[in-house]
Amino acid sequence: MKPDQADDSMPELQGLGKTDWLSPATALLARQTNDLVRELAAQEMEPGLSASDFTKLLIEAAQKAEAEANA
Amino acid sequence: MLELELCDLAALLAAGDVSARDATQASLDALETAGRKLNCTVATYRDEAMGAAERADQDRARGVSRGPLHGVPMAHKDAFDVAGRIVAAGSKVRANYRATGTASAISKLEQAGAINLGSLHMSELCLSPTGYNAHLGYCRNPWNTDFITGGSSSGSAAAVGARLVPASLGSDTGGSARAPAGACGITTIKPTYSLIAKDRVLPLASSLDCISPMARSAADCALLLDVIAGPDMSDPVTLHAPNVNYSAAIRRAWNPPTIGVLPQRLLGRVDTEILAILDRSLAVFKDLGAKIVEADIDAFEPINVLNRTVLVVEASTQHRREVAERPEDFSPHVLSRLQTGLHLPATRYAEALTLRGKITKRFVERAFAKGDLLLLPCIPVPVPSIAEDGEGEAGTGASDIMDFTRAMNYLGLPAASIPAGFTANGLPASFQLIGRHFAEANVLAAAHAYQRVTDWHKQRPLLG
Repeated sequence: MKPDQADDSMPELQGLGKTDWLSPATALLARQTNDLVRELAAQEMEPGLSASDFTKLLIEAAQKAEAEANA
Repeated sequence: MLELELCDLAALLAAGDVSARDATQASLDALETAGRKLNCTVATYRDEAMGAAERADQDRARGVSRGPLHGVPMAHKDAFDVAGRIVAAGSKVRANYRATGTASAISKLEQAGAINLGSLHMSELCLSPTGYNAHLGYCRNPWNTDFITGGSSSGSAAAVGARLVPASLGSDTGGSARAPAGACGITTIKPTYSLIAKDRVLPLASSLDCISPMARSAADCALLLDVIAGPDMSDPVTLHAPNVNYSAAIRRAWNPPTIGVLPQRLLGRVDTEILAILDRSLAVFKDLGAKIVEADIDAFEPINVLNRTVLVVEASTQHRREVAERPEDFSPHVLSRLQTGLHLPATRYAEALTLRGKITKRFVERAFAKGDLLLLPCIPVPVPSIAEDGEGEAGTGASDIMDFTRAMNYLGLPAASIPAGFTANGLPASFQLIGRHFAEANVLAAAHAYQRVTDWHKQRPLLG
């Protein structure tokens, strides 16, 4: 089963099945946010990406900024 | 004395032309009178503050200076731990939370000589862009008390804008310092993610949260960054942060930058009054020698959604137990946002953080391909009135007041909010200046140059 199909067919596993105690507006917002990020991830995810990529980017920028400040 | 900007007051204190006692007394009195009327004061620490002021004056008389903020009175958002104090963060669920230590950012200010006068109004648990707080009531905008201050650093912006204190620390997770600064006519900078230690500050979403100095001018913000920015073991995420003398950097010879602006297609929801103010601001920069170019970037909305995903999931994680056990102690709009976070799949959250490096790298490459800085709207509409706010619901709908601020927290970029004029309703308007990561010196240098030839940041409200 493809991941997107899993999202659609097993919403309870995604935490989105039992939203009856949310207000309709809150449930709608959760679903919309879920849909938007899932769609974005489907376009953007690729092998090798990691949450640490952002940290690496910051470290490189910090080294450059300090070098420029001290130049 | 309350008219003095932070840098000027610090200089007069250092020279002995003003006493810490008088400065502290004046700000305490203002916080307890005008501050109460504006509902921006939560608590004052009068006895401790006056004691600290006496010691500061005695030290100065002996030729001892504690640092660049020697004797400067300040007050801060009620999200910063101060040892022994109740730090409720605008919330009922934290009404009895007494801090056992002090936030590093506050400690650094005190080590540099600043005097902490008390705590200031904020949105409940940092969760309202308009400054609405069901438990504390609205904080009132000093320019017109019928209008919102913006939030969540509502009290910091109102207190600095009303000249009750020269500076304050706020925090910013999606615009929580920049929006209120814009609405109250003061200057702030949300720094690069990880530049300032945020230990012992109430987290909203620690992957996005930034401590923001809030003051009257860019020079004031630079002075505060000199004191609080940089590597700090108490918050290891800062350990790679650069050491920079921001005050010196902004006073170097002016090297006009190339400033990127948004393509017209991304400005469709910006009010025409705000667009006119942005145009006039760009004209000032042109006169200062800056080159203006169009930046090749996409709509912010996908990045805003990623920011919102990380924010609501991390905020819900912080408060899950109270949401389950004491839902009646949250105001409805806060509970709603926290519940949203509880119902997003873990994979969405992990995807948002996994994509952060790729999306940020692409944004930086495109946004700064031709320019050094970006100039964007801050609040894209005239400051709304309290009547329009609908108990905190405005700002989460179609004319979202944080449409142009949220993305910068996900991207981790430094973003300043600079006063730039007034709309027809008499409320301040501002623009944002965005730089590359850790380019706070460049952002503040441009803001400083702008403020040397304009006086929007010097306008003061007439308090009734």
